[in-house]
Amino acid sequence: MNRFKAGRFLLILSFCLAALIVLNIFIGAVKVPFNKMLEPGFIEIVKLRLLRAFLAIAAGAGLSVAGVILQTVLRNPLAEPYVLGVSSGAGLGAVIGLLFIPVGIGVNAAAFIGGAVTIFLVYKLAKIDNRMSPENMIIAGIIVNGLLSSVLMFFVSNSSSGNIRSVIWWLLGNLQVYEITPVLILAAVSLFGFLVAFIFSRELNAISLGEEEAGHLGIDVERTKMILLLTATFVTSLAVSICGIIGFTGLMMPHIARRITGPDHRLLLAVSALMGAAFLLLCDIFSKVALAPKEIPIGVITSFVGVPFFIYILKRSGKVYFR
Amino acid sequence: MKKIFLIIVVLSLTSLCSAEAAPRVISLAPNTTEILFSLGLGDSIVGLDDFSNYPEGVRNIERLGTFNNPNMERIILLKPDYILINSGLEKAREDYLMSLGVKIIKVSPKTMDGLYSDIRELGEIFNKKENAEALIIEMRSKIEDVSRNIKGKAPKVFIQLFDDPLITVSSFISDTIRLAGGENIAQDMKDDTGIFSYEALIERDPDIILVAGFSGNSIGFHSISAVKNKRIYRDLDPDLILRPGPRAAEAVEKLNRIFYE
Repeated sequence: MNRFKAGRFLLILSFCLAALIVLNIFIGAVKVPFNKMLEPGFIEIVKLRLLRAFLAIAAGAGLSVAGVILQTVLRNPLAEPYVLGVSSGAGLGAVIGLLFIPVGIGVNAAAFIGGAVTIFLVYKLAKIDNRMSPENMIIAGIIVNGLLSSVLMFFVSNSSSGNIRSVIWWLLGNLQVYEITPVLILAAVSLFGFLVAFIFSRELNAISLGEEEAGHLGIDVERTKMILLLTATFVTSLAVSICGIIGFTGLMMPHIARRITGPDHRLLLAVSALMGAAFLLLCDIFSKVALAPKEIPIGVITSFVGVPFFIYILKRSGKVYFR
Repeated sequence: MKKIFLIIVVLSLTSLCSAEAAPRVISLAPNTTEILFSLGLGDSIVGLDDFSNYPEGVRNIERLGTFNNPNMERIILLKPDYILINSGLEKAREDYLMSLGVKIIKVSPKTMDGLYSDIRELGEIFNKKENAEALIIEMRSKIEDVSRNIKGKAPKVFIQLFDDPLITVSSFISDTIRLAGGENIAQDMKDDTGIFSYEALIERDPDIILVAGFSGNSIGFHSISAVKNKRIYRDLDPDLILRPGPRAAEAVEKLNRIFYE
């Protein structure tokens, strides 16, 4: 994709995103007449929808950036926060945080610790003879995921009945927040993740060719990998601690984006982020209208849409992304 | 003409004022809905959770979703003064609703006395003190009548909500069973609802098993007294037996008849 084409594509994506934001503000369980949007009673609803839309954007973009980083750094087309267990680790951390330190950023910090411990465990488990194959990575992810979900179920089954349901609801993904602070936090963290990855895009490009090749280009591969993995974990953990586990976004978006943009990470990151944001906005519309006034948890929808779509993409392309 | 106009203005003003005086209430739990209706506040309810199914008057009231995941947009649009809940709403939601000026009242009594004081409190908040006292006196007298009907050793009772896994409940129902002259064998359970061990069930050997829930199968261990003596009761309405609301006194009467039939 040349410069002009890339610019045009990014512009079109941004327009789609803007249109989806507007749609999200107009669509919901309650009908808000256009001329009454700013009247008391309706303005609160519009505010909630705005918070929700911008949280969807921050979460979608952040998770997609994390997906790009993980897929490239681990040189694994199936790597994703959810598949690797980072989301579950952060979820467990957040639940423990909710139970024992439910103040301020305690929950977010606990989520990050949970996510970081998970990625460390998966990384250590998968590395055999100083080498890590994609297959080992996935198996390690499954093992650690199993451990995490059993510990999680321990806490859930032992908390009092009122809390159980709330925790389960929250873990299934929920984009509705009631104040601007969590939106700002996640937006800042996602932007931070994007910028770090963008700064390291030369290194990411090199690593996607092969670690040895990257080493020949004078890149400190281990250090770079560590920084990028921690960044991806940080973004994922914060997203999980604010809006629960939203799976497969970080798996699908980088794949689709890579098919469009090719392997250059500068463009790949930008397109993935925009597409992730648009995808979550779209899923959230569905979450709000499908069974209104009930809402379907957003994580249920992303998995429901994500899995068949992903299978289709894989089957159709049959392409090998990493040599 | 002028006079008529004035009368119309005055009338509409008074109707406006009285409309403002009546509080707008959302009830997000079946038991709070029942309490509101028995205090004569049915007309003040503008929204309900999906599980409120009693009394008859609930039919025409707007539904807002489940007790812990109600639709926030609809709640905002209804502009409630009060929201009544049983178990906890997510804290973020509570804080947000309170920031809009909504008062949130939690009614989750663990005993009959707790229920009385909750009813009394609601009577005070909604200016229905007399109705509240009358309701409490009526419930008390029913339960007092029952207490005269209790004799001998209290039967050991097990409440079965589900059979696989074996789920039972403690909390308010334990007090209902106690007032009816029985003893809930699971009353030492830490949480309200949870999985109960079959071994503990066999060891504690209930005299009576009450099936109040969704399970079709009953316990098949013949060593249990309730099974041996065929004292398993299945036609119980869980809404009547389990809700900490105005019908709790009826539940006590009903259970008492079962225990000492």
